Amino acid sequence: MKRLTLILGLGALAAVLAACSGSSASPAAPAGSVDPNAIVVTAKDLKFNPTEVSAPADTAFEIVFDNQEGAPHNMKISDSTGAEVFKGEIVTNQKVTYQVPALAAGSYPFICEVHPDMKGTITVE
Amino acid sequence: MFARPTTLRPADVAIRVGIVGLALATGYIHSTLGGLLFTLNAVGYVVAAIAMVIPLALAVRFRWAIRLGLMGYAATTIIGWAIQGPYYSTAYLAKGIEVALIVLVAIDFVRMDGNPVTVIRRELGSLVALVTRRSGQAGAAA
Repeated sequence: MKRLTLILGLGALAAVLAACSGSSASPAAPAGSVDPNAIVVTAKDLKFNPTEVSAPADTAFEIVFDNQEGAPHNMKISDSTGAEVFKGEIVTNQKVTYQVPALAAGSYPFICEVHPDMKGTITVE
Repeated sequence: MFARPTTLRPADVAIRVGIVGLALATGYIHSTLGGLLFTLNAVGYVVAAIAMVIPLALAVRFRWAIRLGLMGYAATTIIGWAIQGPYYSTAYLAKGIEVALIVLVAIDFVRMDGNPVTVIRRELGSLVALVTRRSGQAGAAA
């Protein structure tokens, strides 16, 4: 019984340690030299602002994502079929620049992965 | 109202402290995420942590149910996250804590209550006996 308890206890400890080594892999860079035409989207009070933005078609573009609160947020952009086309790093109280790949003309909804009720739309034209 | 003090072995105390610590840790993480769902989740963990140690007679009598409930709550949280995400470092940390929490509560259950199947069978038997007695009294009164 004591041995079982020890094994289970060590398993629990290993689970916590394994979780601590988890990493997030998504494209983002600190907002340094930013394209002056970059789209700026802020997140505050569990809302995006603005919720409607425009971007050029067939050209990679930048989004300066400014999370102004302690809750973690990011931007996940999907196409009209719901397929993910871009996922930004989740950040807290931080401004980052997302490098979004070229997109064909159309309407692309975006959400925060942590709070899917936070929504917006990128119109690519 | 309050249960009579019981003697716990040092290992039991350590396990209980671990359970409360892990429950409060994942509760705290959820409280920092914002939004109603995460806040309610955090409140649930805090309530469970209190229920695990509060010396009320009712809580002590049904601690087995609190243990099962806490394991189910943590498992539901993990499954919900596995389905919906998001998958990032803080979430992995919270899920690691919840897995450890389930393991510790399971150890606590076995040490304090014994075989879960036996416990549930015994409690169901008590419930059936109670209902039978009550309906017998109601029939006699009529």
